[in-house]
Amino acid sequence: MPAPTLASPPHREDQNTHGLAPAGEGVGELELVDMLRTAEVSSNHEELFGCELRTDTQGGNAWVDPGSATRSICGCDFRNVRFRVFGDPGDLNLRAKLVLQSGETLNSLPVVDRDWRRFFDDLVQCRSKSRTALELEVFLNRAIRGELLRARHLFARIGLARGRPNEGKCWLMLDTLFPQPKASWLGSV
Amino acid sequence: MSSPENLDESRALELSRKCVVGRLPSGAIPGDDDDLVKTGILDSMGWVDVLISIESATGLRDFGSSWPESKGKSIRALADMIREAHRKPPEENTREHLVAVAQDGSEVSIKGWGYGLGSVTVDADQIEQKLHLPPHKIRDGAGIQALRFAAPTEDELILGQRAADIALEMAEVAVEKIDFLITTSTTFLGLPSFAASLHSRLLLGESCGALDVGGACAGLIYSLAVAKGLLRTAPQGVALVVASEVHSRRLSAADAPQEFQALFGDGACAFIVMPAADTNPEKSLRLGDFVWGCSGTFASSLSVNVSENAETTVQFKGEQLAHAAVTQMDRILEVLENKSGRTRAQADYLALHQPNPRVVEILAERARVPLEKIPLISRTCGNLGSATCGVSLCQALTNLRAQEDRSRAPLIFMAAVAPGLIWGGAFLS
Repeated sequence: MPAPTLASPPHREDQNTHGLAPAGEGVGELELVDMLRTAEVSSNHEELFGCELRTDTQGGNAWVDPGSATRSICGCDFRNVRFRVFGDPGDLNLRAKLVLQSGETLNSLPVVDRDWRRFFDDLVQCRSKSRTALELEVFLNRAIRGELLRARHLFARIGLARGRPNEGKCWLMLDTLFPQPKASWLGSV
Repeated sequence: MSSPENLDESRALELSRKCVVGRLPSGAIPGDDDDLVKTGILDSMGWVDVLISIESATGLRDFGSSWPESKGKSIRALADMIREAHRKPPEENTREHLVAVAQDGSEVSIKGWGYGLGSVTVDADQIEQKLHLPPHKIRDGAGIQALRFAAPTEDELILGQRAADIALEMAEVAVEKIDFLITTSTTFLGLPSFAASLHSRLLLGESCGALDVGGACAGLIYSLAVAKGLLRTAPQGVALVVASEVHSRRLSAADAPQEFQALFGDGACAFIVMPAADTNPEKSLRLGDFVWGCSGTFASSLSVNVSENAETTVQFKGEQLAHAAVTQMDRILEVLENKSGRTRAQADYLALHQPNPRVVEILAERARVPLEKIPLISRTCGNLGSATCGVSLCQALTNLRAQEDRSRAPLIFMAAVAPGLIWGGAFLS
């Protein structure tokens, strides 16, 4: 059984899953999204974490006051997504922007979804390490984004990072992005 | 935000410090030469947030998207990169060059285009039955074979997004490069406005302006004129122009005559407009001069009113409006001939507003132009309002691009009329 962690608010519901092994068959992606939609879901900024989202810079990522947030993860349907890539070939950083159902945008979300990170790493390998961040970004926003937006289940889970000590901010991150990427999407590389 | 033209070292350092300190817990002030990432002051995410902060403060785009491996990640290195990004080749800074660019900036081209139609096709017979119209009234009387309606999951934003994505893809322009979004829609009501809502939907940059233009069925022509004008203030800018209408829901809820409702469909169009100097003349068409005007003589032929209790009523005098439309569009073509120095016979295509196909046939006869030169979208889609001449223009541009004969310069005339009577026209060559 997963065990509660000793995380401080708002990460109260975090569970330690270290050492757990799958007990049965996995569920399909559509079924998983349907299940996730029965958990906390928001169509707008304020209901994501039960408090106001704040930004320090125009177009920058948002954060919440850890003392005000009522949870650390929430699902949302989105209408559009774009990617940005930062950094040099050896150290690339993937960010995403989303539009929620309300029309509000979430800017510059660090992408921490494991499968999307792995896909991105594979993409970098395919395109060779000499490709610039800008070229990777163009490819993501043309070919990959097109594939992604064709899916019926545009769903994301937005999480809160634990935050640095004394910073007083929990930054948002893109915990999960559906549809999950497919290796066949790299076929157009 | 506009970027400062001359940034001395001290100002660049001050700006970099501000962006870095803003990302740190209060009280933390690193040295200018401390490598912020190697020393652990910032993690890689924090570093990216600093880069975004600098983009926002300076207006620089893609700042730090590619950071030189040999360069440390310090406040001083950030300042150096900011100053380097601001340095332009000498010839681009001369006043003469700026004047020349401004003059050439009056020459703008359409580099990409796209359209999106409601995904539900409704046959003319079905429309006549649904609206209790006499058989063949729409098919034979108006010349409409079918209408395109938005599906329940579609609206002006989705259709507009679809059209814009196609145009952006064709022009190979990233959304971050768009400086202006200019939109028109008669059916999208409320706040945030259509431009603001579409801006968010497309995830355009926060320094990209959003502007709504009126003009109903002439709205697209007015929007293109506004785009051309705005690009004079930003000679290296890019404008995205979008028209989008969903009549099917608006008219069905309104107290509108059935024969009026039966004419309208749902659709959107989009255009990427850029300085002509930045486009390949083989693949883009230059926007020429515009003509416009308004005559209250025909103001009563079509009126739509929303009462205090939000009831919509439509008054429509079909014959009077059709006559006014034909007469005025013929006049527009005449003025465009004078302005362009070429005749309508020399035009490859005419992208016209189309109240219905029958009116277009009458106009073609009166204006002595072959019907084949007018992409007749209203026959299979209906009157798309402001998007009508835009979708017609998209088809004309696509046809031109496919043509192999490049022996003469292509020419397209655009003309539209709207309730009021507002009119507008332009030529592309």
